[in-house]
Amino acid sequence: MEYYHLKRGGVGLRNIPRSLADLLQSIPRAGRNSEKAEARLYPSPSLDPEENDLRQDWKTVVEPDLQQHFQEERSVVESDLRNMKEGETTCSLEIPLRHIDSWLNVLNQARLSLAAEFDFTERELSAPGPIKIRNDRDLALLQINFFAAIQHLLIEELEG
Amino acid sequence: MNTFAESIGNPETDIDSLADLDVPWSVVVHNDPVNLMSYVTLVFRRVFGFPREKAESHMLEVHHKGRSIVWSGPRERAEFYVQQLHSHLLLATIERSF
Repeated sequence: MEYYHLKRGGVGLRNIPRSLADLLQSIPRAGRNSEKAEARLYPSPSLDPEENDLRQDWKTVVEPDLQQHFQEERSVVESDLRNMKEGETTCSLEIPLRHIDSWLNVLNQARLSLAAEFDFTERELSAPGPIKIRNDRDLALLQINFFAAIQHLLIEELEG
Repeated sequence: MNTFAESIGNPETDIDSLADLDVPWSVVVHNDPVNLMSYVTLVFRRVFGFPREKAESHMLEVHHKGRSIVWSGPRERAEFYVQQLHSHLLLATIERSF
């Protein structure tokens, strides 16, 4: 897989092998079907046991706003993924500059959800990824590492 | 800040002054092994307008000490910043400043 700078700003990816294209397509759905993931995406605003009112208000008022925000960001990423061009053996994808913030957010949603769902330790997360994919846990770790690489790339693009 | 004499007869200023007397609140960001260091730095720059060095300093404090107080002030504003940080998926809470 190669990346290049788009003339109008943003990042292009080309010669994406099918296996990595499938991983990219999985980004908007990755790891969002567990209570652990839900808890990580919507954390408590306070650790103080006396702040129950704040926690309740947060659930009622803030969380729906966050849910809508996360969904809007996923919609942007899904639209870019729908435009992924498929060749015989590889694919290509363009991420315009104005979409990079949404991509960073959605990649983070996916990474945090997967890490929470599979209870990865800090040691596992900082080690090199699995060489062989034997189960869903290996696949999740591969996704987390691959998505981190894409995040690095996009942050570099923003930071110049 | 207005003097006491300037505040007399101005209800809005009175309310502001009472709010200023409230205990200051801190916005605390907690360590998370998943969020990238470069991403956390970027979020601090976006949300608080920190220069790069200050953003990196807070990010490193989170990384090494487990938490960093990134802002202190009135509660309502602190809650706003926590919401902003949650929208970027950082672990953030408010707490009373001592």
